[in-house]
Amino acid sequence: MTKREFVGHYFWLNRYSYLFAMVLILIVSWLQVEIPRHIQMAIDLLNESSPLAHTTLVGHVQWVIGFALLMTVLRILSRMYALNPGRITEAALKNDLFHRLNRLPTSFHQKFASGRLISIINNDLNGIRLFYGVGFLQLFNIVFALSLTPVWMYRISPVLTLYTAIPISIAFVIFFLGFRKMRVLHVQRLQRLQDLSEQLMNDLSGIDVIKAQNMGEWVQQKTQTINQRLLETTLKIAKIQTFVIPVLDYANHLMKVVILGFGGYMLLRSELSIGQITAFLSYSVLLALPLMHLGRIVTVFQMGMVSIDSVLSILNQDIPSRDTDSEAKPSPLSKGASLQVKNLNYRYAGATIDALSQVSFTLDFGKKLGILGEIGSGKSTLVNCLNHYLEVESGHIFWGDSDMATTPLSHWRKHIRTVTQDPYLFSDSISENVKFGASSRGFESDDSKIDKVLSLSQLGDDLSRFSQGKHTVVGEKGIMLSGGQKQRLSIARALLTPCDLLVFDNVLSAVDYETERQILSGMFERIQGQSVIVVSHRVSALEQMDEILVLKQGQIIARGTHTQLLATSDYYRQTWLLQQHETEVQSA
Amino acid sequence: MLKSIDIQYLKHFLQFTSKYKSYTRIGLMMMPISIACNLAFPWLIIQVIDQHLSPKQFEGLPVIIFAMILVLVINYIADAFYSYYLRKTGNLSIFDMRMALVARILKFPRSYFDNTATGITLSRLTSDLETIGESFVLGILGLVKDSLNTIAILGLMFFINWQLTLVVILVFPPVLLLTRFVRNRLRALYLMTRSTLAKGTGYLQECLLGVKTVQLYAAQTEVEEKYHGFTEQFKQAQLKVNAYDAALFSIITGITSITIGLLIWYGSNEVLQGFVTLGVLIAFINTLEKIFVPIRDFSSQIASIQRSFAAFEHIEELFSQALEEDNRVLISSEELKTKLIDFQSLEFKEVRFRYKADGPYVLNGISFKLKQGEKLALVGTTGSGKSTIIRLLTKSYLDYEGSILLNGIELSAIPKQSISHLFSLMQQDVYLFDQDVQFNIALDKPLSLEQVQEAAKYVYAHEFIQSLPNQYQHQLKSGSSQLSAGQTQLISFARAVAKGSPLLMLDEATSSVDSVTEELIQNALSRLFKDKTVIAIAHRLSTIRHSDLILVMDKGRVSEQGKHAQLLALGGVYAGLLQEHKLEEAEQ
Repeated sequence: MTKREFVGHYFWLNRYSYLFAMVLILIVSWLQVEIPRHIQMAIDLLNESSPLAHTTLVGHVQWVIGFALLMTVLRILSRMYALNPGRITEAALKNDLFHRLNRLPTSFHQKFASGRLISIINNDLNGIRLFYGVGFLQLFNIVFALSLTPVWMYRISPVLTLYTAIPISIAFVIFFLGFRKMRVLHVQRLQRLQDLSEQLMNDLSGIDVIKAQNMGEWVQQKTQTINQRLLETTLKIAKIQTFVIPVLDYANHLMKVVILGFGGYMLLRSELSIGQITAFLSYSVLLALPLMHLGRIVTVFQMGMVSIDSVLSILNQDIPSRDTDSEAKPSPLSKGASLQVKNLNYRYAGATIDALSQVSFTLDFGKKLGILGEIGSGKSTLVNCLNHYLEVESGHIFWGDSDMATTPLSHWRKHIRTVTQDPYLFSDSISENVKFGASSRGFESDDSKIDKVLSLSQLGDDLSRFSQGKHTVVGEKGIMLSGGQKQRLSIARALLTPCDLLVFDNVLSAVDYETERQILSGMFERIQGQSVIVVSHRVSALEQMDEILVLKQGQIIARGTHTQLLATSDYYRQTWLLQQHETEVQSA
Repeated sequence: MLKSIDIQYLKHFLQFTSKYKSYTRIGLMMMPISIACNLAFPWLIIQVIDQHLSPKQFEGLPVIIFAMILVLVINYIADAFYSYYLRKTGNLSIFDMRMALVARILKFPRSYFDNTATGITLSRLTSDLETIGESFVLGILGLVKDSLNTIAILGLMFFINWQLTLVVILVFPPVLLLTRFVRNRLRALYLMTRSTLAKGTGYLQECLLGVKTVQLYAAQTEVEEKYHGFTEQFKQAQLKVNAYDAALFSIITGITSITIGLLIWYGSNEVLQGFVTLGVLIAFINTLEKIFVPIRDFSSQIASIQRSFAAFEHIEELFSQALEEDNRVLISSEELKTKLIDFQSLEFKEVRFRYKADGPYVLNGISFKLKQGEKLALVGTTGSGKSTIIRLLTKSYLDYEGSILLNGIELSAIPKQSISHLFSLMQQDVYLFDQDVQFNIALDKPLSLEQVQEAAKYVYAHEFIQSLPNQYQHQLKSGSSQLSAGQTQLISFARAVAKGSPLLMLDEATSSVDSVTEELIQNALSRLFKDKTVIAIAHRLSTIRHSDLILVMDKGRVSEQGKHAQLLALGGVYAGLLQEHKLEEAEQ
């Protein structure tokens, strides 16, 4: 989408509002220039004492008041209909952005820190709201006011109209020179504000390390630099705003001086009446507002354009074509198929070696696969490929006959569910966290089902110790829970609704061997008719698997059952021996 | 309008501005000049009309016109200096406030961060301070200038012709009532929109941070539905705000025109009878704008000032939050210097601790002694208080009861910064800075690349760092998954080695590492441990077995303590735990 298309799209969305507002503003502007005409005629009658003149004068005053009343009503409506599109667009855009962000692939989210995205939605949308609200309102206002007012002035005196144009024209040149500079500065300021935000966010996240390591000074120094840069830009903007922008306002006052000076000269030569001078003064006030707004509106449009750029950086990210509108369609994946991985290679962008190379295996439906390997051997990479968190070319991963690369993500993930090693929880109650995503998958969850999965994941005992049980709110990112509790809660979440393949990526690292074994065997008992992949460092967790893969440097170096591997794989045997020897104290 | 609490905020803000008195002085000095100019201009208009235009007297007109231009120039300069210098003061003060707040936050107790979401602290430091810069500084500047100008002009008008002024004042009550009514409505709506917006933004932030979870659970439609709810509610409230805004603006503009009508109607008789000159009437008509526009803007200026008071309130929370070492009697770090060069001894005497004043005791009478070079192992179930002991030692939490002696000095009397060089803490969660690998190992200490590499080699991290695209200069990103969990732990070990502290604390630090790698690390650590003092929370027997002291913890108490052999011989809890395990292994 280009900027022009974007502007057009949301303009079209509000076309009726804008059209209505435009008609109203046209009428209001006409009434507005008519009023001084009646004032002029009334004033010229002031010095005449005849009763007729007085009646005519009162008539003009009545016109003024009548027009003013009508203008008030129409103006209320015009402002509402011109301002509302800003809010309507804001809301629509927020939803559109959120929709897209939820569907953009991992590669996008790795590039854009969430702090930056939030800043776009919080700050840049303001710019766009003003663009579509105040921006268009003032644009219509200015176009009509600046086109009607001079015509009415010209009708009174062409010469004086031309003279009054001089100060305004000069001021305009100055104003726009200042303005061009301000646009650049505004972009810079937003950028610097984002930098500040990002840096403070990082420091707050690492506050424990910073405090423990006495790194306060380092943080303050960094903040000082960024804060200083922000201040510099802010002051430069203030300078332009206070010294250059008001020039327009003063040009308007200067206009009054010109009217009184030249107008006065013309009056003395009887080319103008005193009433006409008053009307001219009134028109100059009418010009003042739109001229002052012209400054504001140019800012609004410029900021709007900057913001549209930011927003387009999200909106122009393509959701892969296979995923567009996929949610409404039926899933192409068949139930009860096998998972096949054929010659899978994966290399991270910028890396020099493959994280996975030539990985192949088949997992028949209902079977359990274990994966063991040292750190950095590619276990998590493999898991992230299987759940399509990472992009894989077609021809490598299949569910039955369906190739993952061409299957809509949402469908793939309804069949294949991953429990990651760093569980993410929402600051909601425990039961809401367990229910997370269930309704998206079209699943009604009731209390008994929730209780069941909570006890399966061995969280039941912990809950009984909380005063509010499963309605306990877990805090931001689950801060109220221990690492082990978070992991078990994320397991309960994964178990609540049925799926075809469950992948556990080292999820029980924070619980002891015994609890891990209990959870796994409890789960295996219950989950019939599902395939399972368990990634773990612990042989004890893998013993019951139908097949175990041993990974090293991205390659499968051994495969087989527990007993087979003890005989064939040195690495497996060594790990097993170490852990055997490693009698551990329970529940440590 | 202003509550006493608001005045307190104001005073606090003024304290920050006091540093920039000279700027403030320049700004304030300009104000009377600006007001004088604002009065002189309409007075000169009256002179032009009454002395020259009405009697058609050309002589002297150029002089008055020149005087008017002069007044405008002076007014421009005074206004620009007034705004610029006071804004400069405001922005400099905000800069200082931000630095002061960052410095304070670095000294906040752990409990603050437990109870406050990072996003909230961040928005205090960014958007709340920006709000003060924009709403408060600009609002106050505008309000002060406008109200003084309005009062001055009214005074001048009254002085020139009190009857006409009364006509103008007659319109005031309805205008004031209207603005008050609208303002109250707007305030109620504003409170509502603010909380809706905060909720919506909070939710958005959560979803974006957890976008991986949202996507893996195919929960997009569910989260979007919830978010749409917030957006819609916010939009509806804002549309109402638009309606009120539109009404206020339009009615006041309408009233201005009606008042002009009234002035002419009333003035027509007065002019005829010679009570009012034409110039005065025209000047009144032209000055109305200067009275009604500020009155209209008052409400929005006050609203923006009120908004800024909400921001002040937030910021004041940060200023009033007690620092962790506030009101504590501390020994000066000078005095401690010689005593805390190295770790010598640690003694816990009947230490009791609870996280909240009314919460249960997490530690309930813990006593033990540890000498230089000794190894202490903490064993026990989750929630038995093991980690709490470490948190007290690192001074993350203060306010313990009983006595903790470090080198014979009471820990609570030692400033936090005097102990940080003594220990390294290695935890399960590792925070990585948005810096390169070298920085993440050395942190802010000036270590050479060789020293950093040596530390990395010591814990077997060198190999994987070499495989990164830019090796030690490779940029890491906090919160991204560039490194595996195990690799980040290796970085944290290297960090500890590089720091070379005499006391090492391990809190389940090796749980994400596979057995083979852990074996390597254990070897490295035992080399490192040789001449260090170690406190370890662990569940592997090999770590525990060789400890000089094992504390078996249960519900905040030490149920058994001694060496491995002693505890086994005791045949108590520890032996039982081991026994249980042995039996299970025998079964397999």
